[in-house]
Order: sequence, then C-alpha cells, then structure tokens
Amino acid sequence: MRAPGPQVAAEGDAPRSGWSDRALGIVCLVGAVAYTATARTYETTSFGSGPVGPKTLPTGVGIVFGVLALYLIARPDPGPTWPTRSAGLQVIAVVVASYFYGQLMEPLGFIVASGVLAIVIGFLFRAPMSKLVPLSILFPIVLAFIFNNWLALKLPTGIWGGF
Amino acid sequence: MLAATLLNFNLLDGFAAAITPTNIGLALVGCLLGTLIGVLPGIGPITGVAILFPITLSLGLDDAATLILLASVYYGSQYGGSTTSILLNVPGEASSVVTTLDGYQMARQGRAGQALAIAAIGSFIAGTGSVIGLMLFGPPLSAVTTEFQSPEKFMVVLLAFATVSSLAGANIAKGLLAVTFGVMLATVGTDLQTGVNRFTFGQLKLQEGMDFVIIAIGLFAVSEVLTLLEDTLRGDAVVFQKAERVWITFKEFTESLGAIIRGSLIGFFVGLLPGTGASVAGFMSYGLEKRLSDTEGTFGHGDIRGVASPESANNAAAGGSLVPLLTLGIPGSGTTAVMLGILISMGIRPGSGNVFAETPELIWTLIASMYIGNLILLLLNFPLVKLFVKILEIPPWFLMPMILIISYIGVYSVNNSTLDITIMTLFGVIGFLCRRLAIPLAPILMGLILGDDLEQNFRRSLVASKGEYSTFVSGWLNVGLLVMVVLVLFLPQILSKLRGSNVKDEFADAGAEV
Repeated sequence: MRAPGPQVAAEGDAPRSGWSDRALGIVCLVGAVAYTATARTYETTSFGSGPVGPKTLPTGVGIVFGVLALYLIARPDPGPTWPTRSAGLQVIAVVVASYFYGQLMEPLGFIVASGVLAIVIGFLFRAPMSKLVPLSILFPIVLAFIFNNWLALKLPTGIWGGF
Repeated sequence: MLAATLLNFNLLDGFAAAITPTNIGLALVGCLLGTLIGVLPGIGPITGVAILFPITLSLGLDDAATLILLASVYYGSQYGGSTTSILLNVPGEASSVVTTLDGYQMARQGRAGQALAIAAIGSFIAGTGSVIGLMLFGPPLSAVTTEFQSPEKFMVVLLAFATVSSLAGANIAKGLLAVTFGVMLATVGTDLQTGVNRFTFGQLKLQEGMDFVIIAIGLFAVSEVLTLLEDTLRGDAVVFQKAERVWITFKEFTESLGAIIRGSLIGFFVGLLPGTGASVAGFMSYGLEKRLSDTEGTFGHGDIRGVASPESANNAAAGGSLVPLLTLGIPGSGTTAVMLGILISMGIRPGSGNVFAETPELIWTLIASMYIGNLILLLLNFPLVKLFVKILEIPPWFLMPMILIISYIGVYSVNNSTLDITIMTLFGVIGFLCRRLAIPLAPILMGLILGDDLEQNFRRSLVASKGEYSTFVSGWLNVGLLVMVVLVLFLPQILSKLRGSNVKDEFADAGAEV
C-alpha cells in the first residue's frame, strides 16, 4: 500500500512532536499483531466453508491495520494539544462516574443513579450548588416519567423507581 | 415518458404514505427535536440520530414511520446547526462552517433574523430541487446495481470505505486506520457460515457481535460530552447574538434567489459524487458565488447571498448524497452513515440490491418525508426561533449529564444490558482520544456497519471463483470500481499538492466534524 505524504504543519505553528501519533501507532501495531495471531487460530471446518474460512478476511484486515500503524509510526502528524493535567483528571473523573453509573443503574434504579451522576458531573463543571441539586433531582424524575409512561421503555426501578 | 409517469406515481404514493396524521406528527416531532439537538452546543446530527434510534425502536413504530422520524431529526438538526452558525459563530457540523462567514457578521449587524430566514428559505428551495433530482437520478442508477455479482459488491463496499476515509481530516492514512478498525470490530461474534466464535473472549454477549448503535452513541455522544467538558474547563466561552424574530423583505429575497438556485445546482451535483457530501458543497458554492457576485467586496462582511448560497448548497447536497447512499450504499457523511446502519438493520441494503425496485414504498416515503420535513422546518423556524435561542442559554453543567443520561437510556433500551453500557463508555473514551488525534470517527462506524457485507461478498466471490483472487479484477465493472477506489483515495491528495492548499484543512481548522 502506497501511503500519501505527511501533512506539513501550518506556518507559524510551534513545532510539535509526533509522539502522540507514534504512541497510537505502537498501540495499533500491538493490536494488529494480537488480532491477526488470534485470527490465525480459527480453523476452517471440513465442510461448508469453501476456499476461504473464518480466518481469511480477518488475517488480511489485521495485516492492513498493522501496515497503517507502521506508517503512522514512520510519518506521524504533529501532536495535538492535550488537556492540562487538571482538565485531564476531570475528564477521567467523568469517565469513571459514567462507568459506575452503568454498573449502579440496576441496583440503585434509574432515578437515584441519574441524580447522583448529574450532581457529580455538575460539581466537576463547577455548577452553582443551589441550582444543581434541585435540577439534578427533578430532571431524572421527569425523564423517568416520560420514558416509562409515554415511550414504553422500562427503566430499572431499583430502590426508588416511582411510577 | 412512461418511466417519468411511473416515477411521479411512486413519489405520489410516497406522499400518500407520508401524509397520514401520525406521520405528519412524527415529522413535526422529529423536526422539533432535531432543531433542538442541532442548536444544543456539542451535539450534532450524528449524535442526535444515534441516540434517538434505539428510543424510536421502543415506540414500536413501523419501518416507514421510524425512517420519517429519524430523517426529520436529521434535517432539523442540520437547520439547527445553521442557527448556531449564524447566532454563535459555531457551526453545528461541517456543512454549516461556511455559513458562519457571512451569517455571524449579519447577526452582529443586527440582521440575524434575515440570515435565519434566508437559510430556511434557501434550504427549502434547495430541498425541493434535490427531491426532483433524486427522482431523476435515483432509480436508473439503482437499476445498475442489479448487474452486481459478489465481486462487484465487494468492490462497492471498498469504494464506500475509500470515500468515507478520504472525507474527514487531512491525513487519509488515519481515515483508513479508522475504517480498518471498524471492520475489525465487525468481525467480533459468531461467524455465520462456520459457527466459529471470533474475538468473543468467552463472553456470551459478544457472540451476537457489536451493535452499531452502542458504538455510535459511545463514539459520538459520550466523546462529545468529554470534549465539551475539556473545552469548558479551558474557558472557550462563546458570545451569541440575539434574534428577536425571523423576517425578510421581498427585495432581499429576490437578491438572494440567484445565489439560491446556483447553490442548489452545485450542491446537488457535488452531493451526487460519492464521498463529497454537504461540507464540500457549501465551500464550493460559496467560493463560486463570491467570484460571481462579490463586486463590492461585501462577502465575508454580512452579505445575505453569502448565507443563501452555502445553505442552499449543503441542503441540496444532502439530497444529492441520497443518490449514492440509496443506490450504492455509499454514505456522504457521518450522519448518512448512521442512516445507512439504520436501513441495514431494517433489512434494506442499498448497493446489494435495487432498493427503488424492491422496497419502493419505504424509499419513496423516506424521500417524501424529507420534503415534508423541509416544509415543516420552514414553517416551524419562523415562529419558534426565540425558543431555540433560549436553548443556547442552558448551562453546560446541566446539559452534559443530561446528554449522557439520555444516551445511557438509549443504549440500555437496546438489550437491557449493563455490559452494553460499559462498552459504550469504553468507546466514549476511544472517541475522545480519536478526536484529539485527528482520527475521523465516521469511518469506524462505516467499517463496523459494512464489515460483514465486505466479508460475505469476499467469501462468496472466492467460492464462486474456486479461490481465484483474479475474480476481483475480472470484468469492466470491477476494474471501473477499482479505479474509482484509487481515485477517491489519492486524487484529493494530488490535487491539494498541486493547489498548495487543502480545503479539508479548513474544516479541521474550523473544528468541524465530518
């Protein structure tokens, strides 16, 4: 595969290193190797599969992915501006909160879990508490009412589902 | 003559199907929701359609009604994106980047009302024109697909991958990396032909494969929340202009009419080319209009034609891009990729068969509903613009958790599974990182949606040819498709080298998402 040339950074840009793309390339390369190696283990059964089996296309795709990853390592773009440490930590906090939201939605129920998530994220966004808390309690209740009654979607009720 | 009568008959049937009280109601709700979504900072049409799809399924509507609702959301959110371009200088998506140039200037001069009005009128006229174009071009092109055997179908999927990879971002290698990643995701699950479980890691749930709705919501909605969080923390606040009412004088309208007609024509034909889509159309049309009409140097300083032209073009292109989408299954933008995924999940596979012949009622209902959606938007936006502007005042600390929560409801409603929620969160993080690293997200989705098609046609071709790979380059149709793949991948690069600048860099600079 012949890949196109790299894009030159706009004039006046501070020179930025290509480590971000290289890191991505390495991650993708490892992924490509693992994917292809796994694909090779899928044996073609004796009947019904013809000249190509379940491993043929994945092998090809894995190789293409690996070649593209190598290209990225060789010709990286200038890196992006990454979040500052504090912003990065807050993004991670939202991700963690979202993960636990998914885990706790069934045991706690939609309304309680959503209220907690709204308060946690609002706190991270530096929301004024006097508005955040009532809105975070009210809105999930309204949503639950709409979804349960009008849209026939059964949300987990948990410890307090209402309706 | 007979063919033309037949076509009109089909569209009329479509209108008859679309004009039921329920469907009009759905189109109204869709346009309203879509406009709200388009106006909301941070969430664009893709997110809107992806989040609403599973929720729509829970309504138990028939396929036609589902399509009408989602198409209205798509149209509405595009119009909502134009509203924010004009009032906020923030394009809702790539196609309305150009609108900011003159639209925001008009708003600053207190002429936001006229800018919004001409955007709505231009979109309506362009939408009307593109429905006519679609009637002319769609069915004959779709008939060609009946000639396609497995090798041709394989090539068409490759062409879709090539176009979607070259669509977004300056670095095509990243587009290809994204689409390949998507295909890898598509191979997860039980292989239908041999029953082999691939990449399931012993998880029963993964045997069914990756659900594109869950991946789409993660990649687009969740990652948008994360990106917006970071932007807010960095303090990239925006100042918006007020619009009291939407109105326009007859003189302003006649002044813009030429720009609207030229924009519609350019837009439609640009939209026809696979992979160009609405964003390129807006740029091209604005550029041409500027060269043609900008005798007094008013473009860029709030010239109404500078709003009329790109707004008509991007709307006509959205219509035009339905031609490659519905005939070959090649989407022109991220949103149409999601629409394709929805069509496929309904068992409609454009490019693999002649959808105009096989499921005419659905296709024509969809087209008719888009037209009706345009009309509703025109009527809706004049009285409701003040309400939409109010949406802009919703603080992000409230908006963000609500988008997350509604996304979770959507994902949860697919299978009532918390594993899905974990997968969605994971793809939210992947989407966030991709946005940072300038990896386009739409190709990932495309790879996932079409990966199965790619593999099935690959295998069928080789079974038919007894393992001969030369089957993929036998016959003029195949070779022609292969040449198109190569052109789509490398022509933009060569052209931009020759011109010394790259239009797509401008999109990237504007922070737009294709």
